[in-house]
Amino acid sequence: MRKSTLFLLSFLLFFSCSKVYHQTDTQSLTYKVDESSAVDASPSIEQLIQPYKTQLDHAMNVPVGNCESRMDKTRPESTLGNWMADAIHTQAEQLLNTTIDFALQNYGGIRIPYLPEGEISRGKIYELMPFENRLVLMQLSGTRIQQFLDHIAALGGWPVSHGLRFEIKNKQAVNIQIKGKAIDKDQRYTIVLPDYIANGGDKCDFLVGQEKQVTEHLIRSILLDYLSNNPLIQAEIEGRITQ
Amino acid sequence: MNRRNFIRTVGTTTVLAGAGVVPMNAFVRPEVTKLTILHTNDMHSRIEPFPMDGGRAQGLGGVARRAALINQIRQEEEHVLLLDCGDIFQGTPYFNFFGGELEFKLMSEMKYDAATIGNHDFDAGIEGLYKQLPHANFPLLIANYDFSDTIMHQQTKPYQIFEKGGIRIGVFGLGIELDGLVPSTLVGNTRYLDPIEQANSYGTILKEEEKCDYVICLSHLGYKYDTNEVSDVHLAQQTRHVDLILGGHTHTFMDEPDIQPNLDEKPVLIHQAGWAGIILGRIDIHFEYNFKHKCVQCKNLLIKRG
Repeated sequence: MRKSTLFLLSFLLFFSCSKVYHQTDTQSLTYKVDESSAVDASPSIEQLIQPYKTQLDHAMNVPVGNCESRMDKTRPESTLGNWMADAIHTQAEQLLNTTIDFALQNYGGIRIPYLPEGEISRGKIYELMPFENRLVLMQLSGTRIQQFLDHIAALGGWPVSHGLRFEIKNKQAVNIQIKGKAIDKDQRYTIVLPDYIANGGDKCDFLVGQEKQVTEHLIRSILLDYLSNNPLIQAEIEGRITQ
Repeated sequence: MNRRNFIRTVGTTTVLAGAGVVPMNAFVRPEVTKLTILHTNDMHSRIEPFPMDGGRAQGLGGVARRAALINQIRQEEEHVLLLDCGDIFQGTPYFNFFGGELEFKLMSEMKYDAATIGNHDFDAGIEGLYKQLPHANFPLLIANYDFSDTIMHQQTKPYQIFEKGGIRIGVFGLGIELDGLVPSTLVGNTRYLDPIEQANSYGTILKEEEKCDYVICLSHLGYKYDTNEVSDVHLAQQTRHVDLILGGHTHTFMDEPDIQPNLDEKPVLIHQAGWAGIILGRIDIHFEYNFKHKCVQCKNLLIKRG
C-alpha cells in the first residue's frame, strides 16, 4: 500500500512537471487618477505627505510674477521659450558684465508645457526649471555656430533669445541672422547656454572640449532674479525660428 | 494524507528536484490562476494632483488618490504586483528640497514590489540616489547598469522573482543609455551595458534556470523612436523570453498594450502609463496549468480593453 502510494505520487509528480502555465486571457485597463479615485484618498499617505507639503508650501507658494496670458512651450518658437531665453540673455549680460550675441535653452530643459495665465508662484518656476543647470558662456566660431544651429534645426527648434533668427529647411539652419547680420563663419560669437548642453547633453558632443566659462549661476535663480525686476511675464512669437 | 506519506512525498520531490526535473520550489500550482499587474512610470516627483489652471492635466494625478485606487484593487484581487519603470525623481520642488525621500517613502507605503532606474533618478548624482535608498523598501532592478565601481555597488539587483498564485514571475529592469543624456559627473563610473544582450541573457536565466512562468521587463528605454535608438519595440522583437515590457521615458499614454512578435514569433506585450501618475496601468493575465500542448481556455492572446 505504502509502496503503491509512493509510486502514484512519483508518477503524478513526474507528469505534473511536464505541465506549464498557459496564458489563457489577458485584459488591460488604465485608470485615470482623478477626484473619483479620491473619495477616500489614502489617509496614511496624506499624513506622510503633510509635513513635507507644509514646509514646501511655505517656501513655494510665493508669487513671483504674473502672466498676462497663457505662455506655451512649442516648436519651433514659442512665447514661453522666447521669454525664458530673453530673461537669460538680459540677466547674463548684467551678471557677467559683457555683451552677448544670444542665449539659448534646450527645449527638453523646459519641464512644463505652459505657464498659466495669472499669478505665477516660485514653485511654478521650480517646475519650469527643476534642474540644477548652471549658466555657461562660450565663444564659438561662425562655423561652430552653424553646426550647433543645424543640430537645433534637426531637433525642430529650441528657445533662443532676440539676437538670433534663422529658418529651418530640410532639417538645417539657413538664413542665419545674428544681431541683424548674416552669420560670418570666421567671426567669433559670444553665447550663453546651460552647462548641460555645453557639456554635450542632448547629443551636443561637438561642444565638448570647446573653451567655456562655467558660472555658479543656476538658470532657475537667473529666472527668479529676472522676475524680481520684471514681474510681468510676456513674449510674442516674432519669427526667430521659422520653417 | 498521513504524516509518513507526507514526509515521503517531500523526499521524492527533493530527489526529483536534485535531478532537475521539478522547479526548486515545488509550491502549490493551481489549475487556473490570475495575476494582476499594476504599473506606473515617470512619476517625476508629482506628489500632488496637477493644479486647476486650465491645463490638459489639471486636477489629475496625486499619490494619495493613486494609493486609494491601489488599495481598492488589492481588496478585489488576490495576486497583485505593483511596479514602476523609473524617473521617480525630478519635476517638482519636492525633489529639489527633499532629494527623493518622500517619493521613495510613498512608494514603500503603497507597497511597490519593484522599480527600475530612469535617467532622472541620477539628477542629484549617484550619491543622491544612494542617499535615498534607506527610504525604499522595494528593490531597484537594473540589469544593464554596471555599478561595480560606484557607491551603488550591490545596492541594486538585475532581477527578482515573485511567486503569486502559483505563478513564478521573473522581473528584471533595463535603463536607457546615459551618455549624452545625463551629465557624466552625475552618473560617475556607471557602465552602460547593451540592453538587448542583457535582456536575452537574463531572460534565459529566468525562464530556463529559474523556471519562471512569466517574465516582465521594467524598461526605461522608451516606447519607440523615429531613429535607430534602442526602444521597447526593438527589445520585444530581438528577444526570446520576455512576455511583457512595461515602459517609460517617452511619457506615452497607451490605451491598450502594443503587441510585437519576438524572435520566436511569440507575442510580447508593451505597455506604458503616460507620466506623473496621471494614470495607473493594469494588466490582468489569466493562467491555466496544463500539459505543454494542451490548453482548454487558451485564446490567441486576445487583448480586451477594459
